[in-house]
Amino acid sequence: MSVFKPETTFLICKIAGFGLLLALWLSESETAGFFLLLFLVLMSLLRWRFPRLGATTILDCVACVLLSSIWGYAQYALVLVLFEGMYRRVYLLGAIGVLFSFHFAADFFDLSLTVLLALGALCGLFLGQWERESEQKLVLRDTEAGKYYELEHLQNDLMTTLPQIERMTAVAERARIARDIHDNAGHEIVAAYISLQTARGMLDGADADALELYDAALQRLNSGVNKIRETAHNLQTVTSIGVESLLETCEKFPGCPVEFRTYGDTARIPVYVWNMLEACLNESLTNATRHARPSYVSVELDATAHLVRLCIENDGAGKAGGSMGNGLRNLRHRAIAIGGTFSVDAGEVFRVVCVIPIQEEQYESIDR
Amino acid sequence: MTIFRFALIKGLRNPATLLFNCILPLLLIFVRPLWTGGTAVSGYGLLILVIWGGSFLIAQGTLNDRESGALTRILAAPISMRSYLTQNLLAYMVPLTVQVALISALGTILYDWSLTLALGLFLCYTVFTIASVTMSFAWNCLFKHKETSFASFSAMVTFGSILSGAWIPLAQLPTVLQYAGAIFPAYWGVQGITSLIELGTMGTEYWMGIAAMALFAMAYLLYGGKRRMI
Repeated sequence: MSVFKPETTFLICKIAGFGLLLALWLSESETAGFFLLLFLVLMSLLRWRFPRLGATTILDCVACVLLSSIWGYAQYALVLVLFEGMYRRVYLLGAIGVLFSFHFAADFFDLSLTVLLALGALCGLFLGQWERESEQKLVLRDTEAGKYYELEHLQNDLMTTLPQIERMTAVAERARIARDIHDNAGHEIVAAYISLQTARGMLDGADADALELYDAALQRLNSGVNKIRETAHNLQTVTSIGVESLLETCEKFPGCPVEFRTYGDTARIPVYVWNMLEACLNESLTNATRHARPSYVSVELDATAHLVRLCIENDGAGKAGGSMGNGLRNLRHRAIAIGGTFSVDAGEVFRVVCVIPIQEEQYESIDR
Repeated sequence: MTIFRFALIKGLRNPATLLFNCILPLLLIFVRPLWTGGTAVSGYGLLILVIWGGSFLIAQGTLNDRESGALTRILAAPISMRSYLTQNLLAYMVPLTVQVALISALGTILYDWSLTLALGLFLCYTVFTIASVTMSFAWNCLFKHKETSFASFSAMVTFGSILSGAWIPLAQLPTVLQYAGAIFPAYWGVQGITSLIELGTMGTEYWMGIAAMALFAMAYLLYGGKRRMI
């Protein structure tokens, strides 16, 4: 990066200007001139310390004009004042400079000094513009850096979400297989076994070898039924998923009681939506604990044929403030990515609403 | 005023600081030829130099605090930077102001100074003390290391003492250099005191000297207050 930033260049110009003025003062050694210089230095330091006092350059200008009759070189000090005035956007100074050069000081004013005044003002304008552009670039760079940081967070979130969805899908599939075995195949086989047992009573007069074979087959069938039951039981998931998972999260929330209500058929909700809903609930409850300290939290899950709506409310809105943090912003991005919406309302009640459409033809739900 | 008390104690704990701020000024007043015009070097100018050097030595406390990390610990407490600086600068000014008051009183007794002269000297030296303390503070803000600060300040004081007329009369300097010392507060201090002694009253030149030193002090404070301390 270049050493010559606008502020540095301005400072160098000012110091060089004061050095020149001091050299001019030494040639005449007028006390008033030195006091003018000291005053100008003091005012420059004041504006350097408090940049909002840019308008005080008018005082410098007035001092230069007033003292120009006592100390002739004060006119040259006016160049420095105009330079700073234009740099700080005190454009009124330009008008004063023009008035001074063409009306009030016509007696001892020459063309070279007028050119010098104009050049000083132009240099100040140029430096001021350069500084403003640098500031704008800095703001732009900060904004871009902020966006990059946000995207990086979102990427990390998605990277951790993908294995979660994969795991949830596997668990859901296992649960469905276990249910199918238990509810359909298992029942059919048990019914067949009972029928065969009943038929055994009708075969009392049959051939002894045939009966022995029949009993062995029944025994093997019984063993098979037991194995199927055991397999179905083993396939059942230990981890809670779906609505149970949300309920468990609400029950375990330590801050305050959480009221959890569901409406509609939650069995229709696909796995990838459950993952999103869990993330919403976790983030909202974490935020409530960290920032809001609410006295109650309400969670509503509304499932219709075409969409799912999760609404989380707490009464700690005033304490939390209305700004959206990284977590909530990432959730919004994720909701948008799956065609949903995510909104935050920080009114009297802090409310987070997540609405996600259901696309049945593409995804399997947990309970199907 | 805890910071003030500790800054004062810490400042005077150093033997060199104690010598320059509490002993040397008092010793000077007892050297009669310096104050009665018996020597080439004037006691009035010499006292200016002693105050200048003493104020720099004592004002190094802020630099020491910064170097040792004490400033970081102090500012971790609920103390504003303004409060820290105000109390420190006040602590640096107090010993020298007391010395100036004692010198004015002793001068009245020993050399029959008039009340106007004694008061004028007290005011002039006090304002110079403020200007030199603020100058030392601003100077220390420029450097990170005590050694660099001290070496450069010594060089500056050497030139300043010659150009300001505190060491040798300005009339003995070439014409072009006679006004070059105006960039140092010491020059205006010497000008004010010279005018006071010559006229016997607080004339325009005296007040101009006071005003210039006050403006210098304000400029140094503005500069030092803006620089980052940590």
